[in-house]
Amino acid sequence: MPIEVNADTTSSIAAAAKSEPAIVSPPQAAKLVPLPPPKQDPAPAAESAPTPDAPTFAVTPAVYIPIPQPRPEYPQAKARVIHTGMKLAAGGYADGVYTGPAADAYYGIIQIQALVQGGRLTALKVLKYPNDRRTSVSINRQALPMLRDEAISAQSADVDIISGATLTSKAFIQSLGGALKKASS
Amino acid sequence: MGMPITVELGGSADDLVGKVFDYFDGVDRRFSTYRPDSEISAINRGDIPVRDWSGQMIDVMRIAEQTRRETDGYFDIHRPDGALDPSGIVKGWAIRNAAEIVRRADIGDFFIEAGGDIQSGGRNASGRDWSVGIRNPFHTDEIVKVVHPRGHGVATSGTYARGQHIYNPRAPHDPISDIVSLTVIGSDVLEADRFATAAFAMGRDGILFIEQMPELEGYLIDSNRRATPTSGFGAFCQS
Repeated sequence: MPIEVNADTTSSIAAAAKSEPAIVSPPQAAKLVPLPPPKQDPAPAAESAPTPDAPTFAVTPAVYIPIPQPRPEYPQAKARVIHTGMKLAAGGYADGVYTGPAADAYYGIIQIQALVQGGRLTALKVLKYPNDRRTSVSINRQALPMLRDEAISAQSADVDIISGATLTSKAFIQSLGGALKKASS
Repeated sequence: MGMPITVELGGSADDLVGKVFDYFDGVDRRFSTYRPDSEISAINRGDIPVRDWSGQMIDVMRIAEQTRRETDGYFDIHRPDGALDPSGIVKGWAIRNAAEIVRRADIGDFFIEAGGDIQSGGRNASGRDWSVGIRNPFHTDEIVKVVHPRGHGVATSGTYARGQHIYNPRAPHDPISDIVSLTVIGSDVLEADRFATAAFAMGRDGILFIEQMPELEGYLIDSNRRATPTSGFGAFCQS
């Protein structure tokens, strides 16, 4: 079957490729929304206005704690949140405001603050939450082997192909032009 | 784009080589930021709404966005002035597609090299694994390492030939001065290219990022002429 090298999409060419990124889909699928410059979205939507007799933070009627989900197929997928219930120990808790540690929720860091009133958990507030679906790049240095360095030294140049940075087209043409000028003089 | 391209195909007719070069010409016409009549230049002028972007442009933009997420923003095709410049991914993407054109024509022995990035398959004319030399950044007609990628893709990011064309998107005005060259070997040339660009922007930590990624190996050269291979890189140095 002849290859349509001028086809509008690479799907016809790359369809047999072994290592397709999972994100590639047929050309007639929904087009991407434009890529805005990276910016941070503001605070969670779950918060409501503080009531007069509430303590220092807003009471959130529902408990929203994102839990790890399989990576969504499209980069613009909304973050999903899951209701969870919490059961308290029989003896209850001392009243107060408690802040949990910042925890790795796979998609980012979450941190929860709990309000206990009358020995009961009455509200949770999310202090930090994963606000977009991205993997944080962190380098876990302790888990990596020590990498030893070496001095570079010239090797045999008898190779098939060379990998390295190259000149830009302008520089290439200028350089070639200069060489040809010399060659013709 | 606008870079030298070298293609070698085992035992094939000239018209397949012509098809490969035609493909690269088409990629250049669409993606070159140096051409005012390219699709990317028109997009950056605001002349083309997203719904009218070509399938190829969307393909590249989608991979760029995926790479941006996977590298915590160290790969980002947004320039400081807000324009989009997907060159850091188009090279590897185009070579990968050109290699597929060659494979679908039942050619198993080949290499395609564009701008220092390489996809190879099979063996050379002497029946041996293709050999790739890594250029010495300080003496560009010397080779400092020889690798045998055996079907893997190879990409090198560097500053020495073009000056500071790679910047750290998280600190655009800080020059990346401590490293000069990072070669990445990946499962294919697109994987190698996209992560070589991102890892280079991380400075010295880039080689640790490559070490941490399961399907990538790398070779970093710093401004003191010291080189650091990842722990699995040596396997590619054996012939």
